[in-house]
Order: sequence, then C-alpha cells, then structure tokens
Amino acid sequence: MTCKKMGRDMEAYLDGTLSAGRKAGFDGHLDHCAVCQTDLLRRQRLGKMLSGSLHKMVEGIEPPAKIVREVLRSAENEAAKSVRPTVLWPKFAAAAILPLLALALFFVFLQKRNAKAPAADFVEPGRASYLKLTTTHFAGPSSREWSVKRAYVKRSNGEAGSLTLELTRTM
Amino acid sequence: MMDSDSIKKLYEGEPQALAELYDEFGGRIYKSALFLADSREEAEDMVQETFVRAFRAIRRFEGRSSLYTWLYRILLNVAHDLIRKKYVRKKFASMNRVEEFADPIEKLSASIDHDQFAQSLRAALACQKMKHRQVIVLRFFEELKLGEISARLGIGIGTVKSRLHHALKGIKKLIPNIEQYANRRD
Repeated sequence: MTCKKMGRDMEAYLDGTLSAGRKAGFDGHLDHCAVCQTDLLRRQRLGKMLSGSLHKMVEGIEPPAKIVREVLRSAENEAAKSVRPTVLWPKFAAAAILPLLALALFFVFLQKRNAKAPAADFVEPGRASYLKLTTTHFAGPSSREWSVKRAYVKRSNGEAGSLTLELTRTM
Repeated sequence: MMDSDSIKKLYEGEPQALAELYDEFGGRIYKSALFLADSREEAEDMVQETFVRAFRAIRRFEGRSSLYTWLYRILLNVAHDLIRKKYVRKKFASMNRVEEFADPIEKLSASIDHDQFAQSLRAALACQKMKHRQVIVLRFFEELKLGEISARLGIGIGTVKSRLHHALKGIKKLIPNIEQYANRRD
C-alpha cells in the first residue's frame, strides 16, 4: 500500500470499517512508514481535540424557552388550519360559470360568422347578366364582402319571374 | 424517551406530542444548530423551523431511521435553505470574518486557554462552506462514522471523505497551529 492510499483509507481505518484485506495492508504499511504513523497520530489527536472542543463549547447550553413556545404556536396554527372546513362553493361556482361563459362567447362568435347575406331585392328581374358587375355593392353590415355563387331567374309562362341569388362570403 | 403512544399522537397532528418531541430532542438539535448557524438567533430560528417542518411532515416519517436522525436531516435541510437565502450576504460576511479572525490566530500560543481556542474554532467553522461545516459537525460533534454521515447527508462515502478532507484543510489553514494545540492537550 502506498502513502497516498493510506491517506484515502485513514478515515475508514479510524472508523474500523476497512475490510479485513485493506486493514491488513494498512497495518502492514504503518509498521514500516514513519510518515504515515505520524499522520495517523496527528489525525487522531486532531479529531479528539475537535470533538472535545465542540462538546465543551456547547456544554450546559440549553435552548431558550421561547423556541418551544413558538414551535407550539406554529403547530397549533397548523392543526387549526387542517380542521377548518374549506369553503368550496366559490370554486364550484367558478367552475360552473366559466364554461358557460365560454360557451356563450362561442355562440356569439358563430352568430357573427354566419351573418346572413344582405338582401338583394334592389336587383331588377331580368337583369341577371349585370349581376356580376354589381356584387361589390353587397358589402355586409360587418364590412364583409359577398359574391354571387349562383344566380338564376325562375320564369313561368314567359312572364318575368323572381331572381334568386346564392351568395358566398369572400372574406 | 418518546413512546409509541406519543408518536401516534404526533401522527394525528396533536401539538402536545410535538412538545414531547421537542423535550426529547430540542436540546441536541439546538446544539448542532449553534455550529451550523452564524448566530444564536439564527440557530433558534433553525430549530424552530426544524420542528415546525417535522410537525408538517410527520406522516412521511416511515420509521426507517430513528426520529432523531430524521429530525437531524430536516435541520440540515433548513440550514441549507437558510444559506441559499443569504448566499450573497454570507459571502461578504465570511470575508469580513476571516479578516477579523486573522489576528486571534496569530495570537494562538502556548498560553492559549480553551475559551480563546473555542472562539477561534467557532470563527474558523463559520468561515467554512455549509457543506464542510456539516461534515465537521457530524464527524466530530455527532461523532458519526463515514457511512452514517453519508446516509444522513444523502451523499456517497467518497464525497464525505473529500468534504471532510477539505473541511479539515480549511480549518488548519485558518488555525495553522491547531495541531500543536491538539498535541499539547493530548
């Protein structure tokens, strides 16, 4: 075993937790290495001194009574919190209202989207050939443009019939 | 000694059972907190927070370790959180403390008494990083073995050894003749 490995194993050696094989190697090295012997002795003394000093530093010190009072006060608050009935109705109300509100907004949106085409009753019967030219007049109330998808005139017995327009939204 | 009845009451959230837990372990936890904290007030806050957290989390205690070990882990977490909160402030504070500390170290001599040494040791500990302070306290105050420190901190044994090595090096750097003092006492 090398001195470097000795340094690595020293704490475990002091704990007595080295495996039998490593402990034998450690002891074997210690027998003939004065440097490691000194290191081990120094480490033992340092540990003993640190341990003794730390214990002596807090010897007889007791925690102030106010800590336990504060701890109990906090615990009582925690305990009270856990038994206090939770008021759930605002949460339920919010849970019920929000989807309804969303649904209502959705219907408003759909209604606007499917706004009816403006009536085309100012087109004179028999003037169907001019319709394409006049589609730009069909600006809806919500600034939507409409174009003629199909236009036809129903005639009966050679008399002027009614003009039917099928409109489609362009934007 | 807390009996099973008291532990059951603690599980049920009875504050009085917490008082019993405090009576049993409060003193030991407080003493360790004194080494982990920078001041007595801070140690008191740490202990208070430890017991309050324990009360909140008692249902998660599965009995795989002793109650004290479990409490101690909470204390270490509290200490860690505290350091995280005041990280920047602490850095400056430590730097100042090293400067204040430089003088007493030089004065460590054959005539040094325990109080002087304790003062230097406390200051040297306070200058260490929290992770190094923790291993020093666990190794030399709690007198735990490497494996126990590893379990308590939730880190590998190799890391414990490395932290211990650096922590001792840090203390020796601040108190260069600590080993002479140790030899004299021995």
